[in-house]
Order: sequence, then structure tokens, then C-alpha cells
Amino acid sequence: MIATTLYLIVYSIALLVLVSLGLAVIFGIMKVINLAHGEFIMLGAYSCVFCVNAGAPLWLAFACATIAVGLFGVVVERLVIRFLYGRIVDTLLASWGLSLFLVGLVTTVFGPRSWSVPVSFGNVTFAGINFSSYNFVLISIAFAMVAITWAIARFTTVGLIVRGTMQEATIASALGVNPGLVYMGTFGYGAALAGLAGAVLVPITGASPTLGLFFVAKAFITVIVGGHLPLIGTVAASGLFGTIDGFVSYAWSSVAGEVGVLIVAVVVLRLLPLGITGRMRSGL
Amino acid sequence: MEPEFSFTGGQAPRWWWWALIVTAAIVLAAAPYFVDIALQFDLSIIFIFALLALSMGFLWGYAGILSFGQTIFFGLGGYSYAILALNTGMSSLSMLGAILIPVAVSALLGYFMIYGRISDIYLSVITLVVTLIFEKSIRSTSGPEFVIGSVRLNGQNGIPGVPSLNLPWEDGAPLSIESMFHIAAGCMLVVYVGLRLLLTMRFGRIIVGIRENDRRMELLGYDTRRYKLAAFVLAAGVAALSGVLYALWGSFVAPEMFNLNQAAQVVIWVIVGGRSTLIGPIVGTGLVQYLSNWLGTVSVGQVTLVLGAVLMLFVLVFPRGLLPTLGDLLGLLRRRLGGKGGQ
Amino acid sequence: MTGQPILATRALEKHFGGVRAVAGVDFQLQPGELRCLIGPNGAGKSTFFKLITGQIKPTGGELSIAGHDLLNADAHAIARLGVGIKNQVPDVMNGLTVRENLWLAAAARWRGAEVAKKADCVAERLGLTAILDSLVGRLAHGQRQWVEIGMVIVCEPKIVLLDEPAAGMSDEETALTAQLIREINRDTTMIIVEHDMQFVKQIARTVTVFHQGRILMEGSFECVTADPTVRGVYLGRSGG
Repeated sequence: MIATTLYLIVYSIALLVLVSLGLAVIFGIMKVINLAHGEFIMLGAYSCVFCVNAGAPLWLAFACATIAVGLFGVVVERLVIRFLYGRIVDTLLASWGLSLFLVGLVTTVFGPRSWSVPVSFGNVTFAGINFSSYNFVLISIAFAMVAITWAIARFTTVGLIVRGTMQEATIASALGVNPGLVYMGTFGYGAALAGLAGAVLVPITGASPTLGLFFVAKAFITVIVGGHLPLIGTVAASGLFGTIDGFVSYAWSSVAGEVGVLIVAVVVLRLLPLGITGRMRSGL
Repeated sequence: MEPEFSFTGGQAPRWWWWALIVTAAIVLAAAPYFVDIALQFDLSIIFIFALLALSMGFLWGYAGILSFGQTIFFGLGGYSYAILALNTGMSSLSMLGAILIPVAVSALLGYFMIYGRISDIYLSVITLVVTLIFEKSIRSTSGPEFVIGSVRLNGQNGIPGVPSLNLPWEDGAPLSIESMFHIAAGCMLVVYVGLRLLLTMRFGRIIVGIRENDRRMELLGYDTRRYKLAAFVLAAGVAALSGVLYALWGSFVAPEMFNLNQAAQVVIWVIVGGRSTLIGPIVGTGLVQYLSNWLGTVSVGQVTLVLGAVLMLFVLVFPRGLLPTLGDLLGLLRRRLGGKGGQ
Repeated sequence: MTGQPILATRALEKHFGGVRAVAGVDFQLQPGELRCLIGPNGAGKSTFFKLITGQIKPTGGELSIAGHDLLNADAHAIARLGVGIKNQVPDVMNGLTVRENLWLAAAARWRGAEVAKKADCVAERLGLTAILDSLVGRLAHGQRQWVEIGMVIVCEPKIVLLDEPAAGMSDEETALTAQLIREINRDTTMIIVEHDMQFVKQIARTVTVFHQGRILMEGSFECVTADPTVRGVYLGRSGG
């Protein structure tokens, strides 16, 4: 029973990291709250479905979804977000508008029902519990996302410039780099992460127009409670909420788990008004 | 520097405003004689939504608090009325209770956020989260064990058959469409006038001062938290009234009253109409709802699509909303014409 | 000479992470004084100012105003005791008229018809009557400073605390401000934080010099500016 609870907790944490990291990167570096994040996830899911139905293997579908949504993110940044820098409320509202627009568009074009992929994964028994081996895939990808993002930030020039811009917006131009490019790239990267998340979720949840709406609330709360450092904040907040959700869901019901998370979020924000990493000066 | 808000301090409304109000009252009172029943029904819900928009417009435009949670009190008002009225059969008292309950909740939530000195954007986020908490919780109450008194909460199916208001002169008969129209129009007008007059009084002027510069007001000796909490609770009361009227209008309440879509609609109404006036949200509601209806019941997808596009358009191009932008355009025209005439 | 001080601090201190912006300050202000706080940049005068006005909370020490012990009190509570506060940057309601700004300030203390009367009175005293219906945001910098000073004195506070009231003003405006301050000082105790030595010379009686979060020296303007340690601390940058 402990093993099951532990497994559920790890899975919950991984799921939160998966859907939140993209949003956290954009929020932490650009101070933009992208409420269309859920729809980026949704578009990633649909991309994955199309790729698989066209005959591609799952891993390739993941890659395609990541790139496709990443490029879409760049377009969104150039067409919409770019005009609203510094206006945090307006970016929230405009991205909310975009979210509604995309949900409406997809519903109109593809219909409201859920699409799925004909992929099956075996079951695995470990420590007396029986669970789908796909969940391992999800957990690994979530872990990989964090690791790769950290590596990029820590070991590459691009990462250095982005980190610098996070601290001080003018650093990019001081280094001879167009700050617009930094923001464009960051937004695209965050969107790409969301696209990957959507693709990974498809075998579990299927692709539907309202997929994003289901996850955006969780992602949003995780990022806000995490605070302004994208990696540490997301991991910490996901750890907190994943634990609560996993535990409460197991003990009562999944709805109780969600409500429990929301209540804890409100309490944490009351105690730490800037989020968990709000007062931390350095770090990722 | 153009004033962002047309209201620059404590001015009492001019005589022509009063003339317009009286005219509007007369027109609305007489409307059922020359407007057909179906239109009265449609207009009633627009007045009810306009009330909800007013609550947010006041809180955001005049108190400077961006709350995505007016739907919390809208939904609580509707549900409280449904549950109280179905349990007790006393519609008037239920109305009262259905406003007091959300007001109490708002006092708690408001105290928590405002006295906790939670910064603006996080406050907005928390209000959004709380409305989601309510939506998710109520949506999951489908089972027969979720009962208050004798009323099942019914989860995502909502509560049907909400009893109508028993007016003393209609004596036991359910509310007629004309009466509903009068009540909705009357409430909207009274609340609008009330809020407008409030802005000329001490409390209203202080609230606007706080919106302009919270810190300065603190340094003058005002405990700004108390005033903001009062504004928050007042707005919640108005939203709750809107919720109660909604329940009366449709005889039905559902978790959709709390959801993201409903919250988005309130925001859109206020943004389209502009938050620098009180009449703005009312006009915005009318326009957006007319547009939504005109798009017809084609499919949920298309309405959402258009709403999203409208929201993006307004944030990018008309951030101050229609009325102020129109006002600017008129001002611009006047200057141009005045200049030419002066030559 | 010393009676009961109207404002006093004991070992007041404020840490910011590793920095001790205010490092143990014993300060006393007698009723009716006009005290200037001077010192080079980063000496801690503005932090001290924010501490005694409740805008930031100290990490140690004691503060009392008019006999009330006020550690950790909120700014509005301190203001309510009869303390008028004006920060460095003009901090007014830019989107409202001068009249409304003054009204709001007066309404904190008075009620009913009294409020408008007091506001008009102060407007007259400060020569603001002509611009009463202008939006504060549209006024020139110097006028905005004066509106704010008007807001501070309309409540008839016991103590007035001003942080760089002459900042950004022309010589003429500065002289007028100095005159105004001397007038206000006739019935109000005052603390002025200032940088501009010419200005300090026009108004100062007693001067307190801050350096590295502590009080370096207190005395008359002439004594202090002649002192070699003080001069050294300023690296000869004082106007003298």
C-alpha cells in the first residue's frame, strides 16, 4: 500500500512537471502569464494523433508535436505577445482570448469528440503493484524535460543569455543579442514543452478541444505557487502538489485531490505571497 | 496626460444624467406594452448579466481590484436561492439569504486576500482558482448523498425547478415574464444609480483615491485594507443579486455559473464596454450578448471562437474599451472640426 | 532644554540580507524642532525615514512617537497619530484633480463640510487656487510637490516628515519651499531629509549627519559643516 501511494505520488508529480514546465519557463523569464498554455498542450496532442495516424512511430510523433507547437508559439509571440510586454494583466487577458479562440477553432474544425491513438503498452508488475508501463514513459519524459532544460540553461551560451535576461532585461542587448529574439525563442521553447506534454498525454487522455482546459488550471497554479524561478519553482511546487494530490486521491477521490491542491495553493500564496521561490535571488 | 478614468473626483451627476435616468425608468416600466414577450425574456437576461458586469466594472474600474471571481458569488447566489427556496418554500426570505451567504463568503475570502497583503496579480489568480474550486466541487456532487436539506445538488446536471418569486400582489402565482423583466430592469437601474451616487460620497471618493494611489492613501492615515474589503464585499453582493435573478429567470442553476467560460464572459463584457465608466459594462454586456445571440445556437465552438477573438482584439487595439475609445474619437473629431472652423 | 521628545528611537536597526542599512540609531526630536537629516548617498537617511514612518519594518530597536510605542506599526496607524509624511518622489493621485487630492487628504481627519473648507484654505495658503481643477498628473514637477505638501499639512499634523522636498525644483521654487517650511515649522515639528546643502542652509537649525547607518554627528548647521570628519565623509562634495 505504501508502494502504491508512493508510485501515485511520483506519477502525480511527474504529470504536474510535464504540464507546467513550459508555462514556468515563459513566466519565469518573460514575466508573461500565458493562459493559452493549455491550448498549446491540446495542439501538441492533436499533432501527435495526426502523426501516428499517418504511420509515424510514437517517438517521432512526440518530436513532431514538440517542433510544430514550438513554431506556433513563435508565431503567437510575434503576432500577439510582443505588443504587450510589461503589461502583465493584458498578456493574461490576451492569452485568455487566444485560448478561447483556439478551443473554438478546434471544436469547429475537428468537432468536440475525443481522438485517440491506437497504441498499447504492456503492464508491468513491480513490488506487488500492477501498472501500465506507459506511466514510466511519462515519468521519464518529465524527468528528461527538467534535465534537458537545466542543461541548456547551465551549459550553453543560449542558456547563459536567457538566464541573464531573466535577471536583467537589458543584458541581452548589452551582449549584442536582440532581446526580441530571446523572448521569441523562450516563448517558442515553452510552447514546445507544452506541445510535448500534450503528445505524451494522448495515449492516456486522447485529444479533444477541451484537453487544455483540464490541465491549464493545475499548470497555472503550480507555476504561480512555484514562484519566479522556473526549474526550482516548478519542481518544488509539483513536489508539494503531487504529494498532496496523490495522497488525497488515493485516500478519498480524485476530485478531493484536486480540491485539496487548490486549497493548499491558496494557503501557500497567503504565507508566501510571491510563491515558493519568490524571495530567492539566484538559481534556476 | 490623458486621464485613464473619466471620473476625476467626487463630482455629482449633472442634470442631464438625471433626466436620462428618469427617461430610462419610464421606458423600461412601459416597455412590456410595446415589446413582445420573447424580447422581454431575452432582455431580462441581458439586464441580469449587466448587473454581474457592473459588479466587476465597479470593483475593477473604481476600486482597482481585478477579481476573476465575481462568478463565485454569482453562482453562490443562484445556488443559495435554489436550495433555500426549495427547502423552505419562502421565496422572499430565500432571496435575502441567498444574498447574505455569498456576502459572508466574500468577506472571508476578501479578508484572507486583502489583509494578507497579497499583491494584485496573485489576488486575481486566487479569485480565479477559487471559482474553479467551486465549479469542480459542485460538478462532482452527482451522487444522491450530496443533499442539503431536501435538495440534491445534482452535480453537473444542476438543480431544476427553482421556485419563482411570490410577489405579494401576484399572490402565489409564479413570476410572469413581464414581472421578471421589470424586476431585472429595476435592479439593474437601481444598482447603477446607487453605485454612481456612492462615488460622490465619502466612501466612493476614498475608494477611487485608493485605486489611484494606495500607498499615498495609507500615508494619509487611511487603512486601505478596510475600504478595499468593503468594496470587494459590495461587489460580491451585487454579483450575488445577479445570481439570484438568474435562478429566478431560468428556474435553473448549474455548475456552469462558476466556470472559466462564465468568468471569461464577465471579463469580456467589462473590457468591451470599458471600465472607466459605470455605464460601460452595461453597454458591453448588451453588445457582446447581442453578438453571441446573433451568432446563434450554431455551435458552442463558434461562439467561443468569436469571444476569444473579441477579447484579443480589444486588449490589443482598444484596451480602454469601446465607450472611452468612442469618446476619444469624438473628442478628436471635435478638435479637428473646431480647428477647421476656427481658421 | 530637553523635555519629553515627540519622536524617539533607540538602537533602531534594519538589515537587508547582509547589509545593515540602519545600524543602531538613537534619535530624539523635541517638539517644535526643525531637524535636517543629511549624509552622503547610502548613509541610511532614507531608510531611517521609512522606518520612522512605518513604511518598512525594523529588524531591531525601539520607536516611539508622542509617547506611543510604535514598533512594527503600519504606516496608516502612524499617520493617524498626527504624522504627515511625504516621500522623495511626488506621490499623489495623478488621475484626480488638485481639489480632489486635497479633499481626500483633509477627509482623513475632518468630516462633512469641514473637509472642503480645510482643503480650500490650504489651497489658498499654497497659492494653488488657480489650478484646483487641473489634473495633478498634468502639472509641472514643482507644482506637484507643492500639492503633496499641501496634502500633508491640511490634516494639521503634529509632526511633518519630508524626504527631499526640494528635489527637482528650480532655485526660485526652492526658495519658496524653504519659506513655506519655515512657516509650517511655526506650529509643527519637522524632520527634513535633504541632499541639497544650499536648501539645508536656508532652513536648518539642528542637523543630524548620517553615515553608514549610524548618526555621525548632531549640531547646528555651522558646527556640522565646519567639522573635518563630516567634510571627509562627504569627500568635499558638500555645497558648504
